[in-house]
Amino acid sequence: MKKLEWQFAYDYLKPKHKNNFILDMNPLSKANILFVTAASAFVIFNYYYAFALSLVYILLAAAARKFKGFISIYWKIVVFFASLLFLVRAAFTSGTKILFQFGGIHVTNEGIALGLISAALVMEFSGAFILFMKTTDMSDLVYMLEKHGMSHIFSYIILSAFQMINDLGKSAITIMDSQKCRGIETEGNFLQRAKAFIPILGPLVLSAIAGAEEKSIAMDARAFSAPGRHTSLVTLRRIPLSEHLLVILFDLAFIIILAWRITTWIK
Amino acid sequence: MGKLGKLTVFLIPVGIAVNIVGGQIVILLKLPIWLDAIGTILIGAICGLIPGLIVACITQIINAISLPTILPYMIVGFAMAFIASFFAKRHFFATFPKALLLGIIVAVVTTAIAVPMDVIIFGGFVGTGNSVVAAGLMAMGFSTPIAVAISSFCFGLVDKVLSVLVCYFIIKSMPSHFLVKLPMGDFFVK
Repeated sequence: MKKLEWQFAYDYLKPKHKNNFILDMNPLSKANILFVTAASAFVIFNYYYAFALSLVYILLAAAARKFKGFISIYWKIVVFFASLLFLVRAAFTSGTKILFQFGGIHVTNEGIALGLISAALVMEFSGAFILFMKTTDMSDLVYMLEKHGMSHIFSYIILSAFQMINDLGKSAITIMDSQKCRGIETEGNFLQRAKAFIPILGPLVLSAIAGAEEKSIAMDARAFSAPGRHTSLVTLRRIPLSEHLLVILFDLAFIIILAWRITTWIK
Repeated sequence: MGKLGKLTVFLIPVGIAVNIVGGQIVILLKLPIWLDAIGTILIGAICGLIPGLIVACITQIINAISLPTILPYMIVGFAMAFIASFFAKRHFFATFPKALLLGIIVAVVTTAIAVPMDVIIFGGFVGTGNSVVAAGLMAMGFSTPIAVAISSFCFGLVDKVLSVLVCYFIIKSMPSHFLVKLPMGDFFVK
């Protein structure tokens, strides 16, 4: 029994490995690689490339065993946003060769091309962003940024914001139920529902603000605003050389693409 | 605590959460507006410009997890934080008519920023309720920028006026002993 307790303490001395290349990757390396790949689609500006990238992001999410969480958000973007964006672009872009006309709607070749590239760019950019958010632990990310000189106050703000959203979400439901007991209508016609907004949000905000005051005292009692370096329970994984090289490779590739694009523009 | 006040550090997460949870309550009540910038306006007003900007920035990043295309609209949040702090110093949260006027100012400015972005980035399509209105106006023969501007402003006016009024009521119901401790407290305490 005693041995087990010590083991628990020793576990904190080692970085947490998730045994998955994508999940274990340093948050900043990941952000760097995803940023240059997402930006490269805007530089190349070809919808085949952008669609292919979107597919790669989906596969990466699957490789990180986060496919379910990723796709649950991604399909909405593809269905509601990208496809509608394509339709609007295709229907209202003026061009030379009109394929189809109906009232104010005119479908042209240019419109279809513009629609495809807009939809593809939205899809690949969204894919990169969601992939990063789904495969990165927020606490790892802010700790990494802290190591790079970000203030621990910002770490607190970011992590606390996520916590707050959960807490306030729960109290919103509680307040809503309490107000229903007092006879405030949350159903019925539009005006009745609109009237319920203030009685729910008001107490929520005021209690959260009062809580902030207490929190500041409690955190100060734990040396939150003390000068000097803060220690951390978590240890981060050392970045292997291969990962450094990978980041450099991607950055170089991006610079080359950018240079190629600029030269074609100049011509 | 450096540049930010001690209390402000703990109020910024509250502002972010109020933005997001406010938006969730609206969805729960099935209202056809957003009301997802109450925290930004509130923190901009009671804590100042920089905290307001931080609230706007982090809110947008968290919201973008479910819809990355809204990231460019962070600028709109910045504008709201700026307006809130600028006019709070001029006692615009003191009376109801002034708060009403401030709501209209916010609506005009945010529409003026958001519409060019809608048109340039997404061809006037933003994937929200007012896009349907905009598309309808476009089909009636209005040009894209005008159609988007009309629909955005109508939605924005109701939304922003209500947001500012909610902030006005919240600030009004804050006790003086709390307001005094805030960076912008001098402008609210009678």
